[in-house]
Amino acid sequence: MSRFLFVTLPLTGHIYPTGAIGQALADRGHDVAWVGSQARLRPLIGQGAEVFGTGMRPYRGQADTKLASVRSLWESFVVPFAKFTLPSVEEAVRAYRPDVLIVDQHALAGAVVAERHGVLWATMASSSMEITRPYRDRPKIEAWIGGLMARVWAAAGMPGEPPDLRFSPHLVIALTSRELTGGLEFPDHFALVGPAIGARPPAAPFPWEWLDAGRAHVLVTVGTMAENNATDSTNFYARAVEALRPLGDKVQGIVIAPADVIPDPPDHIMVATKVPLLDLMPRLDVVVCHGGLNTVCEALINAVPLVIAPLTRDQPINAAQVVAAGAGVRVNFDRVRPAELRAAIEHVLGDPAYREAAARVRDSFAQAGGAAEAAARLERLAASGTR
Amino acid sequence: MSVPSVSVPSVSVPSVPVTPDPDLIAELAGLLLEVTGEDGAWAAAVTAQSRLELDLKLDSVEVAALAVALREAYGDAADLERLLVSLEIDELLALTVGDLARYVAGAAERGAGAA
Repeated sequence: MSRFLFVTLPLTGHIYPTGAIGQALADRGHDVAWVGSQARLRPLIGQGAEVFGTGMRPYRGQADTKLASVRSLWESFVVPFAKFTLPSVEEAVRAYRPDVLIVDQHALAGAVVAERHGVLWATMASSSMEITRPYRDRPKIEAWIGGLMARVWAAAGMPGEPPDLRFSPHLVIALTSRELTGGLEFPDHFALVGPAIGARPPAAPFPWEWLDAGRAHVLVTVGTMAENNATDSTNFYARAVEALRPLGDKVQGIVIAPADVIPDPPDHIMVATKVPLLDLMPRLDVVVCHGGLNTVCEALINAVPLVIAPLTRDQPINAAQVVAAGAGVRVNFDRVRPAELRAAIEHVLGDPAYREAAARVRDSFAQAGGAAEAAARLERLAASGTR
Repeated sequence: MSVPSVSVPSVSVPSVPVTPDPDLIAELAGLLLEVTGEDGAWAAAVTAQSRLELDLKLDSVEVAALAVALREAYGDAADLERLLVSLEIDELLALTVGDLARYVAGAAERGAGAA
């Protein structure tokens, strides 16, 4: 039996998979704990979990997109967050004495502490931001990221140049599969396990009788982080509703949006702040979304094809992967017009090849093993002993 | 350790601000219109000061299409990828249509010099 400690970021999409993998480790008889924001962790992984709190500082909401979002992610979040959480992570490691630290790819404090104390550590890549090395053709961006990691390393009092704190030399768990990453080659210590989906808190109620079996069902969501982008100047929600408006005879739309964004939706469009997404997914025909890895994988695991309007961070990468896999199409979030969005939705609805490709990705996820495979790889790492 | 030196033509945007040719800006606006699928009003609002990402909201697919369009219009020396590789992240974000125009104009000279 081994002891595992997750070092987390206060982001929903990054915390859920740690809950699933933590449960799989516990099922195999291991001890598991988390270090991170108590307020964010508890509601997502359960009240019974052992949590070492880091406290929580407010970070500016994600308003930037594309490359600007990469700059703000690193400068306004990853670096300050690493410095802020370093003492709590040190303290948690001292108190819990883990055999393995499981470090979110952007929770750099975990990597620094592991290196400082000679603890085995694994990287948890819950986004596609780094795993496909999107800036391998932009050496100056890579060098800039390297400089920021060196700053975190030096601020922690560590000597010399840091290793790449985004990639553990022991084990990198990536929540994707080769059907999505395409032709890229990965070293043996990279485990592409697919999505890690576990038990979730009781789902929101949903009027299942509203769903008409004679019509196709299209979900529109921009995930947990992009709501501001979708309601502000670009008004993506309104464009999505206009896209669906003339399709009432063959489509029912479910739009996840803040209350009162869409004041008077037509009868065939339901606007809700929360839906039981995992229960709803098997009933859907197309998901229109921002391309966050969780939403993308939750759709694909149900063989539901996608229309992706990526905004920020890893979303353009996910969109490109889905398009390359044949499981969906991509539109420009900022400027897609209702007619173009409608055409994209009808195109994906009308061509069974998209659902067939989505089913291939689903099968590749099943083969990748999910949370159970992640737990098995972590167990093997712990058993490999002291470094 | 010595670093092997490779002779590469400079790809930096001239530090002395050169007013870009308005006709060239209009041409580039036309290429941007093609790669974005926007309308004429959008293209008319494109100026030398428009930043590719922050103002015009070009995504990576559109940037790739723009690279192809520039090469077709101005020859192999108008190598957008080469320009992008040379820039720091802040410079990439600050890159404007005027910068592109200067790069394209410089490429024309380099192309003529090589011929």
